[in-house]
Amino acid sequence: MSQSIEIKTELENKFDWLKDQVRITRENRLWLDVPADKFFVIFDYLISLAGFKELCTITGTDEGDNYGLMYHLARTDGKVLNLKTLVPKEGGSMKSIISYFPGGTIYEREINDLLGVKFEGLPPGRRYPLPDNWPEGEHPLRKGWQPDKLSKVEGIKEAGEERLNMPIGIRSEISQPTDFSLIRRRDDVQISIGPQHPALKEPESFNVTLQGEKISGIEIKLGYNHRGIEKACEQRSYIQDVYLVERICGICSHTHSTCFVQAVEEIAGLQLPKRAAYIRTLVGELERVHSHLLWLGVAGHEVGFDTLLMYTWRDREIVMDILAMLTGNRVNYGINQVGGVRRDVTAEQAADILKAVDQLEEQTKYYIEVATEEQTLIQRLSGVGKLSKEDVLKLGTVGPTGRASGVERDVRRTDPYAAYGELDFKVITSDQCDVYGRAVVRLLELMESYSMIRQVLKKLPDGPISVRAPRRIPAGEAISRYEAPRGEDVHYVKSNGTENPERVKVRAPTLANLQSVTKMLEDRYLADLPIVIAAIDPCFSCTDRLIKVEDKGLMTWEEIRQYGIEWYKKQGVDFARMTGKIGRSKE
Amino acid sequence: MTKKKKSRIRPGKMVEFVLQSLLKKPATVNYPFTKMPMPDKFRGKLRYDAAKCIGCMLCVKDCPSGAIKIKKVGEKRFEADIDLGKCVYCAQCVDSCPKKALMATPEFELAQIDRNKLKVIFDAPPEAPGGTEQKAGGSQ
Repeated sequence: MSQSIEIKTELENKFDWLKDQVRITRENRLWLDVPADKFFVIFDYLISLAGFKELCTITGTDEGDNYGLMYHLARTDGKVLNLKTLVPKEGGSMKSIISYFPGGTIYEREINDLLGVKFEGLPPGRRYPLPDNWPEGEHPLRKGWQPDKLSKVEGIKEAGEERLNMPIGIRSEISQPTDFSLIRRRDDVQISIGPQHPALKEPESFNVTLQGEKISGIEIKLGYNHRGIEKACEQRSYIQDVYLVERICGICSHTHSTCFVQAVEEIAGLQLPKRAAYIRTLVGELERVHSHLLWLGVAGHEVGFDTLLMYTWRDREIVMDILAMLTGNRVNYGINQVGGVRRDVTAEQAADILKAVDQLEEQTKYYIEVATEEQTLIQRLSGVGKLSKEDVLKLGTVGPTGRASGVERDVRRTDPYAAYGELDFKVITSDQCDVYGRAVVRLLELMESYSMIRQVLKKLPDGPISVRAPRRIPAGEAISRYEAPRGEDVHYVKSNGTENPERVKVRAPTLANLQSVTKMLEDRYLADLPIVIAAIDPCFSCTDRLIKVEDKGLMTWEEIRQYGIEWYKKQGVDFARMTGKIGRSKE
Repeated sequence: MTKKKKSRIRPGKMVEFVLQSLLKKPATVNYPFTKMPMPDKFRGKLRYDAAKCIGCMLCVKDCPSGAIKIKKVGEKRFEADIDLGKCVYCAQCVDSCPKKALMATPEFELAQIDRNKLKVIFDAPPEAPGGTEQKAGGSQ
């Protein structure tokens, strides 16, 4: 707290008009509202002199006649300063922060798409996260906007006809270089990887420009998993939202639900029982174990080491069974509720977990041995996907990807939540700066997780596992951070005194990491692309968070088939003619 | 740097593992002939006990996906309509229910080709409590 007060006094000394403007809600959390014309004076000061060098995310809110823009700035010691300014809806605009944070443009693009705030100096580029055929002027996060309005918008197909559904093989001239893209030359070969591609585990599109075998340009298109979760959260109660945010992602479901309930508990002023904090930590670490083992298998698969995939995924079943035993389900554990956890840990379960952890630790030691001794693996991964420490800081890379470049950035250490403040653990870093480093960091993190699980079970305090939470959460706001297996996850929740939140903002770690992929692939070979993308452990459904369910009623198999044929016919592909041709050529 | 180190590809180590795996039982089970037991806390298909229901509608209110409908069919008699296609199996309704009229069962094999079969109606007891289950759209 004392340090937060220091920051406050420093700010007040420097700018006397800020007297009593800085609010401190708790240790590590500062809030400050500034008028738009003085925004950059403060912004500049905070970044260059006060040490707030990380941008967690930008939250856009709809506040009557104005848009609220909140910049969540973080310091390496865990302090988060939420700098807010208002932009009038009529003719207002905000200056882009591209010169301070090149990685921050994606957050501006998101606000631009979902709220319609204009950013001066934002380079032209593809929209994110709404689809290309989304009508202009429709901004879903505006308060008056209703999802059912969408079906009334007849123009959904027509509005973007020229952008949408471009026939395969013709290069789109509309798409301009984005934040993600390198410079592209005209005579290069273009390869589209995705949205559906065997190298990708989720739908995202990478448009790669090649010179020979080398990558000279890459354009990333996101948003295929956009499901409107932030908007949906505003229309549901806090109880329902816990399960909704849990389904942002299957692998880090505990991450999102914990991050969300932490924020809600902070606003409601609930004191989390110790035992609940420990159980959350336990599930969180088990989730990290499962996620890292999964990643190791995927990474092995991407470099053609499928034996590793088979072994790690076999061993992953051990931790999945433990999670199922502990929470009820393998994924989407449903263990969190506002005010605590829903299920307790019994003594027999604790014994089972310890047994499983011993077994996993033995296996992990073997994988570490393989990773540090096996030359085929070392030579395949070393020097691939280089990302320097400076780039990590500049692009805001988080999690194991950043730690593998020597940046000691871990929310569990800097801004402890749940029971992490009472546990003894090391933050694993590596100076390799490449995919090999990322693999080693994750493997060694597994060992730390095992140690943490043992500590949690040893120290597990007695007592209740939850406190009663009110249905109506008093008005307020909070920002919550959580170290997901992939990096820092950020949730911002704003309440208005009702049963439903006013605004929920989610920044998943992959969105922060994805921007480093273009940097990593600069001048690398196409064959490295799958492993470099896999090495940030991407989770695109976290990143996108929105599905539009078009209600066409029930369709039979035949109708779906017919719908597909018609759709392709509109694009100029006639399967009937094609099959005829193939049939003739066979004859 | 790595090239200077002595190459240590050791296929022997892998062979040992492969031979071990040959003799091991498979890690998988022969589903559907062998079934894994579900964990105690597993949240599967819901069961509704009409006799216990007081019609407070808390389950309807808290359901994140709008899968439950409770209908009043008479004096203190209620009927539940659960859409298994919408249910996300979080069992929040089980927690919300003040009378423990809802329960999560270990039943998980719920896939259907016909969506109508995913609607499960729990009738109110005719007179005496008991609660019978009826599947809409014919037998399973």
